[in-house]
Amino acid sequence: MGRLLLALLLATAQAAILGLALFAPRVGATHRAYYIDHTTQCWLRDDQGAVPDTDVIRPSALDPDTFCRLLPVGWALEEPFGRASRGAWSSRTGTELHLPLRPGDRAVRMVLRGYAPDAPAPQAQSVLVSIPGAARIATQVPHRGESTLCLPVPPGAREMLPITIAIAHPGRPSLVGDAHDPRATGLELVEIRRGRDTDCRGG
Amino acid sequence: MTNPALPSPRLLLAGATVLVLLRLVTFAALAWDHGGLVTAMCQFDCFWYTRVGTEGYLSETHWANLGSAPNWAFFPLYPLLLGGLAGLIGASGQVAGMVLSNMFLVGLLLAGARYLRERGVTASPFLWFGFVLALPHTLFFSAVYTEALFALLSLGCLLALRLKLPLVAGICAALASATRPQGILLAPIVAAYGLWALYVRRAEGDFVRRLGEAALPVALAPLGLCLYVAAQYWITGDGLMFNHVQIHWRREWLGPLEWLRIGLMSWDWHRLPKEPTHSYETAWALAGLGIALWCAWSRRWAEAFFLAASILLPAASGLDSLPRYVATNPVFLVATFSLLARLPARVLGFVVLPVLALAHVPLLLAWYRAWGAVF
Repeated sequence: MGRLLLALLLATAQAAILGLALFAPRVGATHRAYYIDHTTQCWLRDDQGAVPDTDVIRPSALDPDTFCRLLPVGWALEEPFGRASRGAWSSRTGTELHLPLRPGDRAVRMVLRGYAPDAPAPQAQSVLVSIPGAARIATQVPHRGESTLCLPVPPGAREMLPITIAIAHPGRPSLVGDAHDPRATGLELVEIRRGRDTDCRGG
Repeated sequence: MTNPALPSPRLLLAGATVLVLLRLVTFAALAWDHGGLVTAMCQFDCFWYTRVGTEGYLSETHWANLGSAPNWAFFPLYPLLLGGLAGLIGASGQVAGMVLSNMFLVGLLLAGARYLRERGVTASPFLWFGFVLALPHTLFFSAVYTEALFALLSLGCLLALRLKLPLVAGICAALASATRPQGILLAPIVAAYGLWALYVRRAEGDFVRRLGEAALPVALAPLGLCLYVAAQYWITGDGLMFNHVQIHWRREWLGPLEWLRIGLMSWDWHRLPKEPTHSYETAWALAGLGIALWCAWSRRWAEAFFLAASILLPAASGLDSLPRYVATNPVFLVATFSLLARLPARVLGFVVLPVLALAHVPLLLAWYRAWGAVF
């Protein structure tokens, strides 16, 4: 009887430990995103990454720290085959980027390439872009095609403008690498153009 | 068939110790131009184990900006023993680790000799010693790696089950699960034994007592892993940290069949010995799976399961290190030796073992140069 009770006690304690580990981790959002949910390939630190001062920002040209500072959630820092040659591909449905604004920047143009193998016809990737203090923008980016999205900078925007992009029909990224990549990719952020002298009404 | 008794324990212990020391002397001679034995033998994971053992899991890894997190990939029993011995004898972590590993290697040789005899293999135990020490990739048994301890504990578990000592098997499994993640694979074997024992003794009465005798080893078997999970949960808040930090080693889950297919298609032998090659790694994996199949054919189900699962589990997320996992798996060693033991002793002793030892030398030199084919 003693052995049986000890066995039951051990089994219960071990089940409790495994249950806590599986279902109730006590970790911060950063740890969860990086280690558990794999929504970012960046181990974030606020003081890292020099912010570029150029009008055009290409993710492929950023060093990893800056990449992680500007594209913290849902963008692949590295592809299975290495760094992407042009931009950065999304790795989940909800993505977030932090755009550094310079004094006088009035508009942001994002060059996007769509990837939507499972989307209904006409084949395009549906995205919903949200910026604090501005109306949400719903748009479509053609499958395997590029599209430029212009976002007006809302008045009083902070130095780092948070932009979230929700992607409706992500698929496996056989377009950019090997077909075994399990991520849900739907969009490539090819480049970002910041403008002091332009707005979204003009070119 | 007669099953001759083993030589006396003292003779076996002396023989195993002398042969292990002779191998170390050979290793040392070959390490002359590589900074000496201890320096040359300490590559790759050796640095992780010595740091965790002597400085603890919260020590800075100096790897990107990851802090101490990657340390948790390394299971605690071996670094705990290493740190304890280093403190006790006042030696460096590398020296303490090598002393420990080679002591465990002697234990593995002795346990293997007994296990083979229980398995019906009548060949000289000294040939078994020579086989283990000569086989390529078994250099890890002498390095600051967990291979010797894990092989000793897992073989100890299987031997204890053969000797009808399930409680000892449960304790060995618990310790193995605190040594490497694959240690948990012993738990279903202990559980299956418990169920079988309950069944065959069903007529004996006193069901509660028999249930307790069967259940306690099963409950003990995963205890090492669970305590490690509890410690990680307590310290970091993430009880599965050991698994989550695997992303730093770029392991990618494709399943074992897909990885083995990739390995077969790669045909990248030309990268040997400087770099790890999928072809070489897959060849070892297939050899191991072949031996596992043979164990299953021979109705040695526990051995077949343990060997196959020990290969398929890591192969699900990559081919790295498979030669090491296969060559140092105690079931692979005893099963392969039991096949080789069908050869005449002279052929085994004067042809097979020297060939294996010669093949071991370039791998050892590649290890000393930290070339990737070996790790």
